[in-house]
Amino acid sequence: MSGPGEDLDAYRGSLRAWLAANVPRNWRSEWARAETQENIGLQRRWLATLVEAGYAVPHWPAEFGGGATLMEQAVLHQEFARANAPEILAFNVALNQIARTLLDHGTPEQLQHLGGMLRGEVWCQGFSESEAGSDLPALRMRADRDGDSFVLNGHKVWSSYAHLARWGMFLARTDPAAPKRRGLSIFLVDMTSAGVEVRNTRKITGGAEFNEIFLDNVRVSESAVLGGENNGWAVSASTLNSERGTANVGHFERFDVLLQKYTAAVAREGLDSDDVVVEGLGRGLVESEVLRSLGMRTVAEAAAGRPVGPQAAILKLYFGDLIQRVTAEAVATLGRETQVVHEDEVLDSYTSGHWMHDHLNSWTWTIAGGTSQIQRNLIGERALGLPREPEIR
Amino acid sequence: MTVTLEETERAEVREELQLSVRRLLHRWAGRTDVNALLRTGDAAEAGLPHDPALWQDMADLGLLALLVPDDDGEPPATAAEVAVVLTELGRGLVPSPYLSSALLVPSAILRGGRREVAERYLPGLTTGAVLGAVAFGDAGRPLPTTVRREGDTLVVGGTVDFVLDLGSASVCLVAGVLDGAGVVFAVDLPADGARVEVRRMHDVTRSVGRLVLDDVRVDASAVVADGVDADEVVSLVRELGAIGLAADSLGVAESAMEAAVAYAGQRRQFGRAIGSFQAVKHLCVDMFVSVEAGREALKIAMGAADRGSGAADLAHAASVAKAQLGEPAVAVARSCIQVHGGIGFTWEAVPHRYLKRLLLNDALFGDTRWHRRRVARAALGAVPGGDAAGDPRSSSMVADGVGGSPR
Repeated sequence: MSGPGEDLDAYRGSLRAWLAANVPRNWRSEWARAETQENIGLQRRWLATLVEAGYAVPHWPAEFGGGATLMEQAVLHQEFARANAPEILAFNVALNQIARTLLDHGTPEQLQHLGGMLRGEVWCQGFSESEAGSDLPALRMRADRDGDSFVLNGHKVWSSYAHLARWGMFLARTDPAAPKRRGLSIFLVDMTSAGVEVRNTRKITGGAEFNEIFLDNVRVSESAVLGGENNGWAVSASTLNSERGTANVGHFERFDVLLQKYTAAVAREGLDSDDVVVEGLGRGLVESEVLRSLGMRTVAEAAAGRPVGPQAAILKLYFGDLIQRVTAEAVATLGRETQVVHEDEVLDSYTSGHWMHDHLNSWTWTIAGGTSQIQRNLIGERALGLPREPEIR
Repeated sequence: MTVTLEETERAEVREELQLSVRRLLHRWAGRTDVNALLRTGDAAEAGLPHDPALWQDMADLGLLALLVPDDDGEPPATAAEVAVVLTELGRGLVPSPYLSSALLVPSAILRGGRREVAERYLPGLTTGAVLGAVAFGDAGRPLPTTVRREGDTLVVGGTVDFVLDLGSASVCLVAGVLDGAGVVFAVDLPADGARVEVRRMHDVTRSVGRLVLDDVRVDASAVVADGVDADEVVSLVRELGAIGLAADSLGVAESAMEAAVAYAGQRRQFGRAIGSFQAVKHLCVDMFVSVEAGREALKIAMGAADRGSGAADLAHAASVAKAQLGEPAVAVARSCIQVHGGIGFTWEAVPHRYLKRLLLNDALFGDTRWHRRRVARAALGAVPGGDAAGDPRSSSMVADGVGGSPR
């Protein structure tokens, strides 16, 4: 009799065989050398390969090309990370956050977008504003009803890949008179519409991931509203909580691969006789192992239908501190050579093995998707039951 | 990792065990004014750290016999269940020689596999009549005594310091070098030529002592293991000691975190609970995250111990647990004092006792730095083409600088 564990082992085996046969060699340097459009083309080709093999969207329902169990998804992410498979960063927002929101709240018509996502349409998310970061409900973007359409005006920031996006998902205020969280709605917007302007914001690595989006009297039909008018805050919960722990498993695994690179660098540089360096490496290895174990346990708990509680916030907080400290240590340990810019650094990976680049990118984990301080508030209030700080109105 | 039915059942058994131990310790704490005992600052004088009445209760619950095979030849439980008990003892800051008597001594005797020794000590250990200690020397250090043979008698000399639970022990397992090879044997206490010096520790919930052996004569029938077997017994006990202390530290840290959270929720300043201030709240959350990481690290170690992993795997897992529940757990206790403010700085309040127990735990069976370095050296040794450190566990324990001792 085969138990679930054996099925998973078989699944893992088939993934390994497929990865060994299909992961392009030297993809990292090849992709890095490519110009933006060419790079997106390469990512799109890899996406097509994944779609054909059935590995692109394991987390979607079976009818849309997914249907893997949570444990299978975790194993998939783990094996892709270990095999150093290409990361299709430009499509991540579409295939994860936005697809989740569409699947939870979309009309049959809106669900048609899923097909475009699989063909490699880039989506961006327009939530944060310059005055609404951690305090997202304070956002000011307006969507004013005009008959059976809405007119959008506003300014969004930190939008990943908006410069390449065909579609965008925006959170805007539809009822200015309602309390902060009540008067919001979500809109699906064609990024080629008149009045949409995208300006790139270079990030600290010099990379071109982020953008500002200006919306100036952009007119959309009321069918562009996702999940109901003035219901935007509830709908956005799908977007913000789309991560069910399985993709984390892949991130943690890639970090472990990075630690192996650091281990090799310490050995290569003859630093293995330096107790301080060795202790720091050991600490990283220990904490990475604990993190990976906790990550898998979280998925297993969710798969068994048990409440996962504040686990996602704990993992994010722990990982952010860990990746920032280890990359800082690598920069300090490996010295001035780490300060040299490498040609293939344009990739947005945080586990490139170019230590300064990875260190700079590590702030992704302590700022994006809720800063470490916001995570601490969340854990303190929800898991520990500590009182909230009085709200300032 | 898949959660199987068997694992689910075992988890339930552990939960029941945890509850019954917690209840027992709660009753004990109710009838024992620990603070009054500890106020003297001299645990031995106060009859601590061993309370015979509590010991008897634990024996009656079967807690002293978890690892000892019963009539079917199967032990009723595994190291994972022992760890549950240890964590509860840590939670309650309970003074108890449980780690040595219920985990280390039985594990050494069972791994040694000598029937005579097993029959002599195991029954008494399970009923609570015999209390044990283990004097094998420090992690990564050579065996601490020298042994010579005179007919059927071993004559032992040497000093072993920082022996946990020595004060209450009626038998101490000692490791030494005999004709260039390792040997482990049992010394009944008191014995002619053996001196026990209980050391006055900051952590008054523990007994730590120095065992001075001056030509102590031990019958050959008291040998627990020799040669390669002795090396194995010593390695096993050193790893289990690290894991056992990690389990204790998890309980202490958890307790410290809960105490801080409760205090932060209840203490009011500026018209509101201090736990509503982010500066205080975030300290509490960092404590909580450390405890959760420690809990996972202990699970990793328990898994390795239960699988009967090879020496290298067990050593790795023990280091993961001991390192993760070392300095990070100590930091939890430090924050606990800070959150309590002035009260946390007093002898009467509990926070200092968390700190002291955690610091002592960290210092025994290899400290955080030692365990982190051992993990790193094993990884460096596995780098292809790297000369690195080699396998830190390959050398014998008889020579100097062995067992992966940090350079």
